Amino acid sequence: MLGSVPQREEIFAYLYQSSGWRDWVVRHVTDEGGDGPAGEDVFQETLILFDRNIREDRFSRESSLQTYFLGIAKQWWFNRRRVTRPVPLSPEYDRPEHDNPERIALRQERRDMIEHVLSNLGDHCKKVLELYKLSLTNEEIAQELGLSSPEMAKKYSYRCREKFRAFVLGRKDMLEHLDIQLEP
Amino acid sequence: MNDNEIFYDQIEAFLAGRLAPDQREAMEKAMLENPDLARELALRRLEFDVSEALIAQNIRGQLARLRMPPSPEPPPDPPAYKYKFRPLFWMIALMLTVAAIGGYWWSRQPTRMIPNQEQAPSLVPELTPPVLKDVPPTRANQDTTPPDRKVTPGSPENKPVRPLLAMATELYQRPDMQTLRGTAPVAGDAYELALSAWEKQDYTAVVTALQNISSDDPKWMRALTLRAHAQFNLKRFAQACESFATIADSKIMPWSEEAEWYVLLASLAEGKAETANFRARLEKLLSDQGHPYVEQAKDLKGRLSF
Repeated sequence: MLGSVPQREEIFAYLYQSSGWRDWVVRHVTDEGGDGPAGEDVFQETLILFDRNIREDRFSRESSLQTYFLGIAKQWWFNRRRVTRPVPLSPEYDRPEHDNPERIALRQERRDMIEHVLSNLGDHCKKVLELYKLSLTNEEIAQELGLSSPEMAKKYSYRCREKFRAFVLGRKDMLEHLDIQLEP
Repeated sequence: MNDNEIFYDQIEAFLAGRLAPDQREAMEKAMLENPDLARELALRRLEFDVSEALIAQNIRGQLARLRMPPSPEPPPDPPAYKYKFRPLFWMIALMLTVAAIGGYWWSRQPTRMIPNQEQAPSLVPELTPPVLKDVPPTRANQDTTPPDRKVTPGSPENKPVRPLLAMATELYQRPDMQTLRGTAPVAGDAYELALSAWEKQDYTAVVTALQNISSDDPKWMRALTLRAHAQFNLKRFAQACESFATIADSKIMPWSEEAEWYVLLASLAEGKAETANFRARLEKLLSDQGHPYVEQAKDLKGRLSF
C-alpha cells in the first residue's frame, strides 16, 4: 500500500479475491441484518479506510492486520446501521465530538465542496494530486504519467497544486466555508 | 528557521495527525495568531481531502472492475476457416519478405555508388550540420550527378529533408498514454479502443477509433493528443503537425505544453525547419524558461544552427 500504483493494485486485488477478508466481512454484515451488496459496500469502504490508515501510519501494530481490518469493518457496519436504523439519543449526544445535525450538515457541505472541486479539475491534475498524496517519488509519478523526467513530474505537481489553490481562492463560497479571509 | 517557517513545514504532519501533543498545541495556538498560517492550513486540508477522495474513487473503480465477470474468450476459429486462408497468408508473407529484401538492397545502393551520399533516415541523427549533394533520389540520376554539386544548407528549398526527419525521429519520445487513463475508464468507448490500439502500436486503428470523437467529449484534448502521436508514428507529419498545433494553441494544460514541443518535431520531420512559423514556435518555447521542453528546444536550435 505504500508502494507504487501497480503494487497497490496488486494488493487490492489480492485482498478482494484471495485473502478471505471479503468473505468474512460479507458474512458479518449478513449475520448482522444486512445483505450481500451491503457487505460488498462495507468491504469496499473498509478497504479505503484501511489503506488511508496504513499510509498515514495510524496502525499501531497492537494486533494483526487482519484483526485491524475486520475491526474497521465491524465499526463501519455499526455506524451505517445506526444511520439507517436510528437508536435512542444518548446523553453524550450534544458533546462537540459527537455527531449532531450541525456537524452532519457541515460534513455534507464539505463533501459537496470536494465533489465540486473534483468536477472542475482536469483528469491530468486529478491524477497528479492523487499520486502526490500517495507520496510517490517524482520518478514514479513521471513513470505513471508517461512524462519524460522526474523534473517534469515535479513541475506538473507544482502547477496542478497551484491550479487547485487558484480555483479555491477564486470562489467566495468556498472561502466562506473554509473560513478563509483574504487580505484586502 | 523561525517559528513561523517551522509551522508551515509541519502542516502536513499536523493534518496527518503525526505531531506530538505539545507540537500540535503550539500549532493550534499559532493558527489563531497567524491568519496566513490558518489559510494555508485550510487550503492544504482541502487538498488533502480532495486527494483522498480521488484515491478512494480509484479503489472503488478497481473493485468495480474486479467484480465484473471476465469477458468470454473469443470462440476458436473453425478448422475450415483456418485452412481456407492459409495459402493467402503464406502468399502475403512471401510478398512482404521479398519487399523487405528488395527495400534493404535498394537502400544500400546509394552508399556503395556515391561516397558520402545521404543515408536513409535512421534513429541516429547527424550531429554536425550536413553538407549534402543536391541529388535527386533516383539511381539513374545519382550515377550522373557531378560530385562537385554541393549546396550550403540554410536556404529553404535546399534544406535536406532526410536528416531533419532523422533528427525528429531521434528527438521524438513515444508517450506512454496507458498511464493517462481516466479514473474510471469505460470499456468500449472510442478513447479506450484507441488506447488499446496504441498499446499494440496499431496507429492506423488509433486514428480510425478517434475519427468521430466530438470536441464536446471530456476526453477531447487527450484524444487529440493520442491521434496526433499516432499520425506522427504513421509518418503523416503534415496531419500530426496540424493536430499538435491545435492542441498547442488551445493553451489547455498540460497538453498544450507537450504539443508545443511535438509540433516542432512534426514540422521538422516534414522538412519545414526554415519556415517563419517553425522559428516563431521554437523561439516562443525558448523564451519560456520554465517550459518542460526548454532544454530539448535549446539542443534542437543548436543542431539546426540558425
